[in-house]
Amino acid sequence: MEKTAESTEMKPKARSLSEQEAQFFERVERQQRKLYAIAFSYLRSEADSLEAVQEATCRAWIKRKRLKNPDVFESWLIRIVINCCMDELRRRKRSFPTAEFEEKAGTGEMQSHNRIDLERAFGKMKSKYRHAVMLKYYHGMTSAQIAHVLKKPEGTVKTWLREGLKQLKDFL
Amino acid sequence: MSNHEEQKLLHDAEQSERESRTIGSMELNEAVRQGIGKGKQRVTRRRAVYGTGVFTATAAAIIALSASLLPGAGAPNESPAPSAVTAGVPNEQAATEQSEDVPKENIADYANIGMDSTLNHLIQGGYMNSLSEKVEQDGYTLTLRGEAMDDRKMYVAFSLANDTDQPVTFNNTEVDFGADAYTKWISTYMGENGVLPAGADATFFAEIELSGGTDYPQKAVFRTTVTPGEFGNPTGEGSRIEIPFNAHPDTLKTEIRTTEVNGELTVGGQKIEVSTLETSPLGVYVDYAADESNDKQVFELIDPVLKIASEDGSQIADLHFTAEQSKGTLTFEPTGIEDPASIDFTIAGISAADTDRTLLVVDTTTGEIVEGDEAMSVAVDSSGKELTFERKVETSSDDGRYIPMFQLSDTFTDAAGTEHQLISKSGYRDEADGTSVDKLIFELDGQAIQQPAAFRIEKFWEPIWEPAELKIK
Repeated sequence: MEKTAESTEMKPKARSLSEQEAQFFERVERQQRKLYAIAFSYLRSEADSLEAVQEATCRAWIKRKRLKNPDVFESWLIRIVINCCMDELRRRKRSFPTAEFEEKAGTGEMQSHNRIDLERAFGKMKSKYRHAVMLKYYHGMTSAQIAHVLKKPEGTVKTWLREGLKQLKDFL
Repeated sequence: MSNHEEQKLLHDAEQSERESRTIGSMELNEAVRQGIGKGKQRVTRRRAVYGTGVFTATAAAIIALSASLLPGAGAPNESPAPSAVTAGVPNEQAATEQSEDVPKENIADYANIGMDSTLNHLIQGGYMNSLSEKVEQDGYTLTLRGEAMDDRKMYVAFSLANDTDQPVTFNNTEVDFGADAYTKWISTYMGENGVLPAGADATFFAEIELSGGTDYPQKAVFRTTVTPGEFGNPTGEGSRIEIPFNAHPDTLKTEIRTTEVNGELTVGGQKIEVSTLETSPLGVYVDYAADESNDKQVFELIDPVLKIASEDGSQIADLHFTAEQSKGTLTFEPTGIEDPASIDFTIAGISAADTDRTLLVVDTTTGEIVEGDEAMSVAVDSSGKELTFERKVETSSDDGRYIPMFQLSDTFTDAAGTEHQLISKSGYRDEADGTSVDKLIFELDGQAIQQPAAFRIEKFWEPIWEPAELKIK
């Protein structure tokens, strides 16, 4: 088998792809811990959160050329990872019904009743309210930052936060 | 919100933040790398089916069409029969050629070559059999480097040295096992723009669909057409290059595990029967079929995921499907978990519609839709020989979810009951502000058509978001 040429293999075109890839990787890498933290706050599982980061990177790679403004890369990635988390939570609704949550809590798999109560309350909340509350309370973002991430006016975000907290109070 | 509840929230946030900090950078880096790999793989597959614009789409359509007409492309099973392979038991042929008898490719020889995790796993795991056939023709040197096949698909690693002064691209890539053995080209990863520059050489991987239950012979022919110019914009005649080679259809058979599932998922009142799950070093395959009693036509399963866990719980794989092979088989990446303790199959919903919405009755001389889906429109070109079908779909610009294009059946029936061929020319999507317009362009076969004509829409996006789960093991 002829393999002598491999040290010089994949020349100009492949190099340009790997440069793009390296650049993209570097940009995501800068955000990966934040993305993971956001995914973890939604999913509370290391494996699922890593999976969400992986899936978000995959979707971002596919759509990267459609992002015209590089300055919004971070908020765009956050939106994607949140969407990935919501996909996973939709799946879980079926996989882990409430009774199972309670059973797991009994065996110590879920850390505390507070956590279960919050999980249940978040599950009932409107998604947009949940995103606003999570980004503020779990990731310390200001209303302006949340507005930037969710691509909504700041006033809308403030309303969502208010309504979200109200719903949370009702459900807890 | 009371202080108490806010405290709860803040306490939980703090706990979440603390736990999330325990993740290592290596795991995160790996997740990002794998995500990019998956993205590249999905892009390639989409390009293979639809193209990325009018020119590439045309080329892709030609590739797909040609592949289905070329020798060796026998009639595919509409729903491949469950594998006859029994878990872990080699068949008679397999006993004659054990995997260890065949030289394997070495991952070190593929350093700096772009590949996805499945290919990496295949070569690293010693599943890619070495080949060394080489052909020089018209300034090109094509070398087959390796192949790996189970009973559902095959990968061929090949390199091309382009000693001409033109960039080149491939099309009509195929593996031919003879007229009785179905094969279909799925994808060839060719880099971002699908070209190999002048004077360059590179290694590529062709993915070929096989049909479960078929006994593939050893003798095979690899063919590809190398065409000067950019993808979809040729500047000269293509060179058809072929290399006969000996495949190794049996070396992985002892690695194939088949699980009879015979379970059912129900979504929106529609039943989906899941018959078998097959695992091999090349992938995990789930065979399913929509129940015949359904009142809707099921186009696809949305976000199918397999969760596979090892006995001791140390290995858990969440597998998102990578492609739908023949209709009715979902392909997932291989797991590396040899004897899983549990396997769960979940979907986020299905895409399905009432059967009457899949019929489109059109006057092919004017494009007037006599009966059918309101989201669809049809245009006829000035020659009257070309039809453009358009369908609007709402797509979110943010979530990255891929909304599949609609598909039409490749035949249609005119008012006199005569069946005509619909010849695919191209297909592409125009996207703007969360709305997409999918366009498929077809050429009519030139025969007289009694108006109006009935077309069948094989697939369009009509999601029913209702998660369903099946415990396979």
